[in-house]
Amino acid sequence: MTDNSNECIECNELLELLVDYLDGEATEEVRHRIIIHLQDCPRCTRLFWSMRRTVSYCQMESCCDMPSLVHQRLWEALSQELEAEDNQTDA
Amino acid sequence: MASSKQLQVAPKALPVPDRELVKRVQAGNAEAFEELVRRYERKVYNIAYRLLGNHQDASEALQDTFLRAYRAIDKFQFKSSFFTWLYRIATNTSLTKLRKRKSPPVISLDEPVGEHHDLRLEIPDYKYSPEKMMKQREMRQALQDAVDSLAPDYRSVVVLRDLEGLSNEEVSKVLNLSVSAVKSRLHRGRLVLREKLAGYL
Repeated sequence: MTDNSNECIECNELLELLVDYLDGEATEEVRHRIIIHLQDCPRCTRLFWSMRRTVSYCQMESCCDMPSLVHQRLWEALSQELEAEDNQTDA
Repeated sequence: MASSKQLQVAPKALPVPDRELVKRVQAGNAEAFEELVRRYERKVYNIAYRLLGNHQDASEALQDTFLRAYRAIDKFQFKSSFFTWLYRIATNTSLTKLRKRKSPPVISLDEPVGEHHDLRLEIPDYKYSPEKMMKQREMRQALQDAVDSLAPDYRSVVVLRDLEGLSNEEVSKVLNLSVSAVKSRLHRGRLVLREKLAGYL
């Protein structure tokens, strides 16, 4: 007879441990437990792979290009700030 | 002689550590602050852009972040690293802006922003076919839409951890959270992203 309650606990546990596993911070023991669980649980296996793809994609797409006008505006704002400070010091 | 030529090459100067630059700024050296801006402007912009979802707001948040940092740098006590402190200002500035927003922006990544047409994102990459570029653009937009759909508390964790590559420990310092709270929010945030991006991955 399959003990469903036990399976649920294991699945919930896996969810909690997944962050460490995906970030490469899980201990050897935890990694082993996750792998054993995945061998017997298609639902968690699907979740695991889709989470892994999601995290990899986010990490790959991390950079958005900063438009040159944004850079220019930042430096204009900073120059104004520095000038205002200089004027205060002089006065 | 090859070996003597090698000896004549001047060694590349090591970058001045952030800590030293901060000390110089505190002593009144504005140029040191400019160096810090050069080091972190893109990183801060990325954080702001990911949290706010459009270039116009991100540009304002970027300026506010560095102006606040400059005005407050005298109070920086070296209890954390400079970047943690700066990212905290950037995150708080962006989240404040986000919470004040009355309605969600309807600006896409590729549309001109208001009257500032130069703010559009243009990354021509000739390695890819037009179809691939279109697909890539679609996926980028889907990612940003998915991030936008997260509540601010989860969004900040996901942006700093997964998009900006900070460690859980660093995220906890930036956001003043425990590491376990970071992990919990990260997990929930990732579940939402997974669902939203399912059709693309």
